[in-house]
Amino acid sequence: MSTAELTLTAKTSSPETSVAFLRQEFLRVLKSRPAALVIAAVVYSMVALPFLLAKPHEEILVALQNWFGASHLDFRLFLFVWFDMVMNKISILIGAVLASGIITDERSKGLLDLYLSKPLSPRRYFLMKLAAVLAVVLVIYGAAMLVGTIRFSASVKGFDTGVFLLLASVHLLVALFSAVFAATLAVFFRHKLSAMLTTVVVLSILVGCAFLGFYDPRFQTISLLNPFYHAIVLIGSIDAVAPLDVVKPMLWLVGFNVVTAIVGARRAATLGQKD
Amino acid sequence: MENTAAIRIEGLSKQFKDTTAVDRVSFRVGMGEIFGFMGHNGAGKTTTIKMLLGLTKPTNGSATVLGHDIVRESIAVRRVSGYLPGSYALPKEMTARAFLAYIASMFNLSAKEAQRKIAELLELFDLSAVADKKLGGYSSGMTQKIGLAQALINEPQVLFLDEPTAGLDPLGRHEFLQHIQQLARERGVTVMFSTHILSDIEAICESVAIMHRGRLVAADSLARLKQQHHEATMDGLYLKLARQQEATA
Repeated sequence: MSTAELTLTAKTSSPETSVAFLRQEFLRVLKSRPAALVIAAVVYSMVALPFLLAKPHEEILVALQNWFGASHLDFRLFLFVWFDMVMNKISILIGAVLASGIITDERSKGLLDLYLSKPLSPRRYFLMKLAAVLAVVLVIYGAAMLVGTIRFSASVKGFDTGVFLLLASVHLLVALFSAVFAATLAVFFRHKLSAMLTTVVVLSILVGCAFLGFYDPRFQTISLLNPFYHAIVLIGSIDAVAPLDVVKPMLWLVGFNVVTAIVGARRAATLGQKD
Repeated sequence: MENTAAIRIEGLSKQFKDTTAVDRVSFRVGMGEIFGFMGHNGAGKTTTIKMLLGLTKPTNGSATVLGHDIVRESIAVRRVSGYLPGSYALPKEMTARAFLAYIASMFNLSAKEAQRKIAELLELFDLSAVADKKLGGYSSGMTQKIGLAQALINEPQVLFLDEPTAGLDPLGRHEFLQHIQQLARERGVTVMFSTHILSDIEAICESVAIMHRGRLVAADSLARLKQQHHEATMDGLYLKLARQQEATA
């Protein structure tokens, strides 16, 4: 076979983009133990949440009234518990267990070279693995939103399904950010544990500071740099929240996601070159 | 030789900070041959293979695989190549069938085509009966067979095997070498077989390149090298060339 014939063979081979790989990776992540852990955490939260709502700490109620006013207190309490005490923590878990192993797992098992020897560029490989994790997050988070709506719409006084779904849609983007952030860190670190611990520490600090802008308005400007702030900011305006109100925090969060993913992809392009 | 070289390497070098892993290496691998790539641990064999697959960029020099430049056309190189790394652990939670389907998806094969190839490879390596068992329970011989099967999923024209028989028992090694010979003979696959096990080279390779401390010591047909250096065995040949290289270094 001549070189020209061989070149033709290569050119007529499959395109670099691989929908089949995305599907396989999505199923692999969805069936993985980390995904089972996240699903278990969501289920546990659904069971535990009514107990948290039944006996809220006095200081939480006082804080909610100070930050957001006394109207719709039951629904605001639910939103606070749902987003801050449950979904923010699950977002940290999503980042740490679902996305921290994106590159580090393969590297530790010696599989990275094997996978990168296939016709996918390292950048595309990273982005497709990330896309698969994001798809799994979407499924788990979407299911949690649905179950939350069904489970609590009747039991929480003043529950507004439209408002809840709008706010949850914004918050979904911060759960995705957790995964993007963790995956990006995983490209920079050699070991999964280091990537995972750094992810947990950084995301925990961001979650811990999410309400800082409400606690002290002087911190509102600096809070704009915290993705978790944008994810909960609309709790303050549920009296008159409209679909268009979600655009601004969503744009912020999409921006955070895109920029972080670009950083990860750029780093991924150098995978293996320094080994 | 000019028109039938599957792999051409010209002055290929790789520098890692203060270490020269591969130093101006040049040789050619003929189409359809089993080419032994030998040297001690750390001689630069793995780095050379990684450069050929575009997994790491050369510092200097150039190379082509089936006419594709390894830097500018690394994706094209990977489409026509298969690779079995030296040390790896298969994902123990996956079954052999699922793992091969996962690898097939990286080549964008249709589900039907992937299933056909997976069934064929499982049959070839006599793994059909355990195809739906998790890889965590596989022996090292079975793991290497799956490793080789994944490298063949795209029906490659060039196969890079990095120390594939290390860790296998004598029977497993014999079986593995037979598979490689069969691939070259029946499918015309060019095999670049990296190893430091001299008897493996002697058993299946027609030509050989010997690396020592990042440098190419010799590259020619095995018979010619033995004749030139008046050595009857691969052991003797390797030791002679390595000592000569040590003396001149």
